[in-house]
Amino acid sequence: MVSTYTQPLARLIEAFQTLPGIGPKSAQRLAFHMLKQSSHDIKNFSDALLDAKEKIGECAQCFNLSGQSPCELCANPNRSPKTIGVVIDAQDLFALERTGEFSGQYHVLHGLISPMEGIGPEDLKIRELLARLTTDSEGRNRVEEVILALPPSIEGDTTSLYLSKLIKPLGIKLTRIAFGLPVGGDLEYADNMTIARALDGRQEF
Amino acid sequence: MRIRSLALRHYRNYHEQELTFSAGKNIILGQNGQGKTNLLEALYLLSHSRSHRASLDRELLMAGSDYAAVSLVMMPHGYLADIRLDVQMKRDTAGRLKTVFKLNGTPLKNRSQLLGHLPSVSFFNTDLALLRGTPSDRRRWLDAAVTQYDKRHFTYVAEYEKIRKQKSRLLKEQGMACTPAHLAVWNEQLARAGARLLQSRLSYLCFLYDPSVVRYLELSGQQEALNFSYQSQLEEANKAFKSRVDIDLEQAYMALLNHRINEERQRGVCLVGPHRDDIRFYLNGLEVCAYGSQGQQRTLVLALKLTELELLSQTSGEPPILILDDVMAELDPERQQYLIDHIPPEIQVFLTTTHLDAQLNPVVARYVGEGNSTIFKVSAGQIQAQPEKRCIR
Repeated sequence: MVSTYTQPLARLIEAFQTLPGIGPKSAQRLAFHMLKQSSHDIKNFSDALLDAKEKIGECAQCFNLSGQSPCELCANPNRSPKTIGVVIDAQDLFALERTGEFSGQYHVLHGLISPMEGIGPEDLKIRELLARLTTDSEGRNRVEEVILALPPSIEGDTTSLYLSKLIKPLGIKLTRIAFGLPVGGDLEYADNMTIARALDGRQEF
Repeated sequence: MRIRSLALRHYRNYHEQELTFSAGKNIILGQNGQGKTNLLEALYLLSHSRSHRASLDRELLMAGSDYAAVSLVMMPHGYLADIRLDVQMKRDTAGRLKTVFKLNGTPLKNRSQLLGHLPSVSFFNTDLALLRGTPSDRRRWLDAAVTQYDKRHFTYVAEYEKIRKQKSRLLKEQGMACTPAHLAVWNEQLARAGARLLQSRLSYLCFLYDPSVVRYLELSGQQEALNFSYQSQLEEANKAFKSRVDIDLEQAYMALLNHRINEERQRGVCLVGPHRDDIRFYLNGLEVCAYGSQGQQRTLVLALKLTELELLSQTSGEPPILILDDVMAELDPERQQYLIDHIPPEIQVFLTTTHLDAQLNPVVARYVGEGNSTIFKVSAGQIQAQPEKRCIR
């Protein structure tokens, strides 16, 4: 189909369409919205994008996205270095952080083991995690517990299994977050796998 | 289970079609290539969540159409309210086909949630692949049968397949280069899921074995003895299947996986697991796929299907529907009569045939004449029902 848009507009729409979850219609709506903004607002917007890209890097300790290294979380003296929560990516980290229930430090793996996607253990920040478990900056090992906050999928299970083989021999307590029914959910409407896993992971009451 | 009505829209060669079924026998009558099997396929689709022959949903759409829909209203045994099942297939703007199954109007999260609502036993010509086809055809038959009986089996198969694909990719891409530690975790996952899948298959076969042997003996007029064996790589499992012995299959798989780990790395393929298993059938000691006649093969499949019907009725408390596609071909009149005599009266039957002539097809003609039946004449995607014949007692 021949584009009916003038070339710069077509380019803008195409640029929006590269974003996740944005189809042709949404891209068009966003592009028209942008054109209505003042040049000043648009400058702010594009500066924010570039600024974020330039300044945000990975924390050298936990590999979370941050403008500084060590990141705000690793540098926070109120957070206990005795517990490390292992997550897939920064999004999952923020999901845990929103609960306000976890006061330890994090370690971001940047993926899960999945040969189909060409990701092996060596592509993840596993070596770096092990380094944190054996020594800290003063040459002592202060980590007492590693919590695997990985999803209950084949890849999540496999990655957890892989990590357990490396971490357990170090004598550090290794736990994995529980799987089961959503809070406020109905047993009746849950699918069988979820109920089966919830039953498996039941706790003494 | 009793299906009251079925509506097809843009499905295969049906433009728009609504049908009301008889509680007893539904005879689908028509020439070749008119759409008899397509109609049965639609019933199968809403029972199994997949077609028995199309591997892609898009094959189910009428040529040139962007959508297709099948909906069905059924009345479960002992319930007062009807249940409605729908499947809707629609192409989105990007041309991808989206399939949604619905239960009483509510979309289901995935296909496996549909299973169990419409229990069915079916006989299609493609089922003969059970004997003539490859080991993978036989595993597919077995897994489909077990799923009807225990729907957890669907997740066992799906999970095992996911793990196997991941491991295959690892072996294929890295072969000798993949680290033993990485391969070990996939092996552990494979052994766990494989053991669960194998256990589920074995307990079903254990349950199926005796009744189907009896069934075949009867069908063959006490002439031929049926025997079948499940061929797993685990010696213990092969011995266990006829006598229900509890063995640690996971450990057995783990041992075998470790034993063949280098061979797998060298060849770059998954060599160990239930995806390599097979089922062999024997009549009077001779292997059926090599020595059995067409009629014997058909009889054997029929014996298995009748046994499935019996087991499903017993265990689910809900009589399954029976789908018979051109089943009488190649069967002698005695075997045809046996089949008809052994369909329990509470079962709703859907049977296709090319003719109802009393001379050409006496057994079916007599069966239909006994009443409680509706005849549907199919011609080029159009179906016309003939009034129901009630049995007068």
